[in-house]
Amino acid sequence: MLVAYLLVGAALFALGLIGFVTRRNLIIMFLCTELMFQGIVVNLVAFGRYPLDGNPTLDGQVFSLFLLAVAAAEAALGLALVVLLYRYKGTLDASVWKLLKDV
Amino acid sequence: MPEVSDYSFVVILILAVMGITAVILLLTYLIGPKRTGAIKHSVYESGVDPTGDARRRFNVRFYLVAVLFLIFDVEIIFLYPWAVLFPRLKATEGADQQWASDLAANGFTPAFFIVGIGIFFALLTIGFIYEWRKGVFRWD
Amino acid sequence: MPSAAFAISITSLVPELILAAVGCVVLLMTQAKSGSVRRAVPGITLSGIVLAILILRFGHLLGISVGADSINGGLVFDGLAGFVRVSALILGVLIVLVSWVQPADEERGEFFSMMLFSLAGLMLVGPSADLIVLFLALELVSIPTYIMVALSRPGPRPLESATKYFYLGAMAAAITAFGFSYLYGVTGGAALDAGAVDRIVDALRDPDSPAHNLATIGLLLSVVGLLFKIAAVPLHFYIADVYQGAASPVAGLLGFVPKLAGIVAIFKIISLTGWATTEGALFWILWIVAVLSMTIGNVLALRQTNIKRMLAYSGIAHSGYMLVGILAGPIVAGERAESIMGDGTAAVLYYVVIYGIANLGAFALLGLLRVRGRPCETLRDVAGLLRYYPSIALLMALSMFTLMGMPPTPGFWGKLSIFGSALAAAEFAPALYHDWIIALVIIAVLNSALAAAYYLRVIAAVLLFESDEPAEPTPREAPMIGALLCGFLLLVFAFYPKPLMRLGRDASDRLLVPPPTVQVESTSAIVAEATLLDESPPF
Repeated sequence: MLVAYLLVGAALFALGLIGFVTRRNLIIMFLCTELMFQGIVVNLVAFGRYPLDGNPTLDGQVFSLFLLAVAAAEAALGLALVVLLYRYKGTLDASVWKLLKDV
Repeated sequence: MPEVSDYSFVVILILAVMGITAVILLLTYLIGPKRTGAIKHSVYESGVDPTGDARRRFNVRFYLVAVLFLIFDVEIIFLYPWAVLFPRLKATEGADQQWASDLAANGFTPAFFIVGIGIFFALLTIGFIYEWRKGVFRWD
Repeated sequence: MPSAAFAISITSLVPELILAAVGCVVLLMTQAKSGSVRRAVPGITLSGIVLAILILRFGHLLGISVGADSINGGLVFDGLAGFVRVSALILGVLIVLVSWVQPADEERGEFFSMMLFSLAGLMLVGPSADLIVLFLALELVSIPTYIMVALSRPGPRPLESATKYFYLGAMAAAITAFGFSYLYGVTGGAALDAGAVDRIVDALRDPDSPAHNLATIGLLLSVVGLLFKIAAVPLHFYIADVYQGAASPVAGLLGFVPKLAGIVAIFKIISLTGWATTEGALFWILWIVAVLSMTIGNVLALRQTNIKRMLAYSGIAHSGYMLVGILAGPIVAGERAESIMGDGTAAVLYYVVIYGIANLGAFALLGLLRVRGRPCETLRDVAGLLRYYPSIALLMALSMFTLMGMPPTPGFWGKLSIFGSALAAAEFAPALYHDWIIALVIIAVLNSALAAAYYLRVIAAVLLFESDEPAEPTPREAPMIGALLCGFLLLVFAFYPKPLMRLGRDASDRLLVPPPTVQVESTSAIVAEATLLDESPPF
């Protein structure tokens, strides 16, 4: 049972990571990091319910609550940054931002 | 299998909804009159004349409100565990009573939990005051 | 455990609580009507940090047992915690002074409150002995720094750098958290205590156990995610753009606060393996990352004419040197108890602080100088300073010599003790790894020589070249005082390095001996018991 949950968690995480690396739209990239966090939450809750040593703990659920809060804080910051960037260039494409680079 | 029969009415409901919907759609297609024209093809906005494209930009203030909602909405998840467990601190018998006295012996008395949630709310309130005075809630 | 135990852990946190409370006050002061209140923001920030230092040092006289060796709620106040807290607060004073006038008047409150929150997060990384607390503390360090980069100066450039920093940071945090979730699965609890070390070590030793792969992947991903914080090679892409886009004082802060947090977190994760860093998979990962960080950082830095980008790339190389010390580990400490030479982790802690001070000093001077009203950034901008502003020129040269590792400067003591401890570790390592550690030290020394080239270019520009249009320092006292204090501390640690090294030794003592498993049930275990009592298996 644990293995099935871990597979789901790892799949969500991997999808998020691949999406983050391949997509250039700022909102999509941000949603990909959220997807990675949800994969982690699945892992944590699964480990809390089906631990390897057979003693369930709530540490995993507590961790996942805090993880959600951290993800929300990052979401707020990310959205604020995206809105500010959009005001400058009128696009969400990450690759138009090249003010800073090696000469 | 008793578990399946417990949920069998849900399956029946789903099937019934799908069936009735299909029948109604089929009947309107078969017996309804078919006319076309400019008015028939225009967007339906509750009888009001349509104004502009639906895909226009939102005012940036909507995003601001969305961000604020996101933060305060998620902070609520910390209240759920607190609200579920706090009444059990006052249990007078059984396993809950044992659990409550164990916690109190470790310093986690009901007063501690009240102060803790108070600090949590104080922090949220500071954030709220900051936003208020920043003029986030003024819509002009 | 008696109820007094909880009270201890709250009073131990008084310095952090002071920083957080002052942060809230400063945040609300931003919107004060009168300008004089807003101008008081940096002063209040500074007095908050000084108050925290006083409580930390003299709190026991008031009956506040700050730093009592207590194990409570996932916090352990040991030597490592003491080192992190003291160095965070002292560097915090310097950082406040250096960025005294940085952002616009209206945004200074937000800026300084974020600085205080970030410092409080750094101070919590030190004592954290629990995966949840460690992760939250790391995020408390990072998230305010993203905001500080964006706020630090007007225009689109800081926004672009903040966005790059934020996106890569969010991804790295997710990778770290994924590693933490597997570590939690292997240890069966979030606590980082002796029991957790036993389980991880057992899982790593037994390739047939179901936890073996989980432990390996968990350790690997945790460490890789943390490499973002210290800007080591796989996750180093952001650093040059961030340093260039942010205001100079913020770049100085980024060289210390996230770096110390990342290094300490890596210590805590690796000490779960019982410091098996001189053999097996962990050895190869650290070896490759260290070599790539040093080489890539130095090669990229050589090509720069922009000093901010150059310092950013050299920061990658410095992370590489620190990884050499982590690879050496505290294993051989017992052999030469009096010397820092056999103690890789103590050497790394010493080096992080020295690097932080020198880097902050260099950026403070860059932030102080203006060329035609623009911030000073390139080699041409700083040319010929010696003739017009000798004190600034000499301070810049001192910072650069320290970063380079010239013999009398503290940077030299740091490098010497890191490389020395790696050589000492090689003696105790298995035969196969002995030669590879020696090779690593040789590569590190060669890289130090390579790095001298670009530091000497700055020193030559400042001291030897002539310029028709020299940079002008802005007439502000606080940043100048901050820069002078950085230089003063560097001189102190050059001729009197013992106290800081001793502090580092105390800090690394505990890394080999993890805190004992808590005998009393943790709250969450008690809650779990109560919740699971009346629960039937749902599946």
